[in-house]
Amino acid sequence: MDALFQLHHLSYHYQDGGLRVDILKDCEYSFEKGKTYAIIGPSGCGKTTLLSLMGGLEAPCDGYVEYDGENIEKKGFNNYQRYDIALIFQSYNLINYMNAYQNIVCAMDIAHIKEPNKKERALKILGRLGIHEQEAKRDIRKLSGGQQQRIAIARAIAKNAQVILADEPTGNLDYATGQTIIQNFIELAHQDKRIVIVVTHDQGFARQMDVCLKIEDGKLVEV
Amino acid sequence: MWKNAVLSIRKNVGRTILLLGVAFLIINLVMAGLEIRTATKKSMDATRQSLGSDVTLAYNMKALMSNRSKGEALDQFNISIKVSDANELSKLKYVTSVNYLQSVSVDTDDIEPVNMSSTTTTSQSEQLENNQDNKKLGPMDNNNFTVSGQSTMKTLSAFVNKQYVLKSGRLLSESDAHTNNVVISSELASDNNLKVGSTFSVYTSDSSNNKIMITVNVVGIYRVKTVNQIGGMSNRQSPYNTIYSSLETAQKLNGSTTTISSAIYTLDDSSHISAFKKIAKKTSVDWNTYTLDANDQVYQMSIGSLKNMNKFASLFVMIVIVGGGIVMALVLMLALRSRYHEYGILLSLGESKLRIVGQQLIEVGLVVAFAFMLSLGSGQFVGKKISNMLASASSNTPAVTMKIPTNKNNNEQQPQQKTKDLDVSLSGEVIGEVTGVSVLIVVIAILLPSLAILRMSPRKILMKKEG
Repeated sequence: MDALFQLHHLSYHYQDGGLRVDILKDCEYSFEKGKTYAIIGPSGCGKTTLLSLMGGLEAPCDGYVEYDGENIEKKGFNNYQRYDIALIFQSYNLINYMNAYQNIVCAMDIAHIKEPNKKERALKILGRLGIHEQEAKRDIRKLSGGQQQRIAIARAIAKNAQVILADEPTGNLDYATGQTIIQNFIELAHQDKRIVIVVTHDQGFARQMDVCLKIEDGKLVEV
Repeated sequence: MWKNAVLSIRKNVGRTILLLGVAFLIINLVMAGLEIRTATKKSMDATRQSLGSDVTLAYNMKALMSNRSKGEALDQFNISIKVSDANELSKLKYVTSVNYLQSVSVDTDDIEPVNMSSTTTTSQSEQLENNQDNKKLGPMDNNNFTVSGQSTMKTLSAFVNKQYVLKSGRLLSESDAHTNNVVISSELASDNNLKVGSTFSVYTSDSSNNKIMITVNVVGIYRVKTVNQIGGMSNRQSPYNTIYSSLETAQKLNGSTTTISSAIYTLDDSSHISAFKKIAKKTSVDWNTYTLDANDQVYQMSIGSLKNMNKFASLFVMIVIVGGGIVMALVLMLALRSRYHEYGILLSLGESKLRIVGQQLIEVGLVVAFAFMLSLGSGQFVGKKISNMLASASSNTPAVTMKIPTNKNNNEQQPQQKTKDLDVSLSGEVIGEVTGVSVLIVVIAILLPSLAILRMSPRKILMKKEG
């Protein structure tokens, strides 16, 4: 088994008034390279919280996330986010004063990617995802949701991160565009040997992933 | 970081213009304040310089008057200065030369004084006669002449300022010490047919009423170019009847070789007057009896309005720095709220919080630098406008035009410095100070919003957006 990314007894709860609400309880799982994962579950079950913990956006109450044999908290969330993972959100989260390729170059700069011509590489990745140079230079706010989501994916690819975490990436997209995005994820995992973990409530999307996981009573189980 | 900062400035035009406007206004005001402060400081220095770098050690008449008993006559006091005290000060730092003066009222049977009641004033100048030689409060005698003894005549301001000019012969110098050589006025010489080489005797009496007589030898004749008639001036007080001698001659006539009337210390620079006074106060000289004066009264009156403007400018600059910093910080904090999402994205990409603050710093720094460049063109204009406003405000206050007596021989009265004459210009010093202030404002303005950035949690920001 080629486990690069593991969850160890991961737990998370919050206080609602005087009441303790447990979201995740002792989650344990190993993610393998070159595979796509879908995490499904009803609204409020803790899918996004799990993604945040895996992405180092916040610390768990118990347990830890391990990347490449190291606790990400000890490694430093900032370093972990910079070099090891890429996050893709439902609302794309692109910087609006930058155009498509500038957003990608910015992410490459942050990740200290050694590339003689970052702009060229950004345009090449965008081209692979169907975003042409004209669109890549246009004001980001004038692009469609599908195009913006593909730019977000291109940004994740450009970072060379081994783990890609996506939160409802097709939530705002029509079926055809959604399918294109799914195909992009599958290619990333199978061809580039990356781990793609997608949180979704779309059963159709989940079925196309290699592994489907479900949060049930705070625990992460394979479906 | 730089690339992102430039992109942000270019794309967020509205915010950039707002920030530029605020920065431009603040820098202009700071620049104006600093220009006025520098100009007033320069004018004060120039005023100080025009009054010379001489400091006079004299008897403290103010203290004497307050210490005397009711009805006590001033001639009962020995208002002389010990030479040993004067010598102590002559060794202090900044002193380049020293001139000791001794004035003594004398009479003579050999020559007639220039009678003041028949002498008319021809000069129209604003000179004020207050001869140092006439300061001596000796017995109120009826003598017609004053012998003014000094170490050297070279530094006497009346001669330096060309109010008195040498007509024939020479002035006295250090080489005339212990000689009975004198220099007299041309009027006194012509009235008595005296020439260079002539001799005559002068006399006075000591405390025991013993006559002290000295025969003096005329070595120089001077002409009084400018002098004003002052009502009630006696023959003895007249510059025409002043006989310049060596210090030793005057001391002999005064009956004491260990005392003098006053000492004038010439300093290397007028800017060292305060420092000189400070170190002089630490010597063993009795400052309850003596005083040091550098035309302080004239100086203070001359710089009155300048001093107020200088204080106002300093306060103004301080207020603008603090106020400007706060306004900039508020503008940036408002801008920051609209950029929370952007910072959340950058944090999720692994950008460090310090680099995000750094980007802010660069953005604001670039805008302020541009505002600074623009202000270089307008700052001088604004400074001039504000200084004119202040000047016209100060000119509404009645100006002091009284004539002020000075310690110096016929020293020219300094008119009150006109604030309209201020040289409000953009000097290197001002540019340097404004640069420093601009950096300070940028740092203040960035500090508060930065605290908010440093406390940010990317999840909270991004999840909020996710809805």
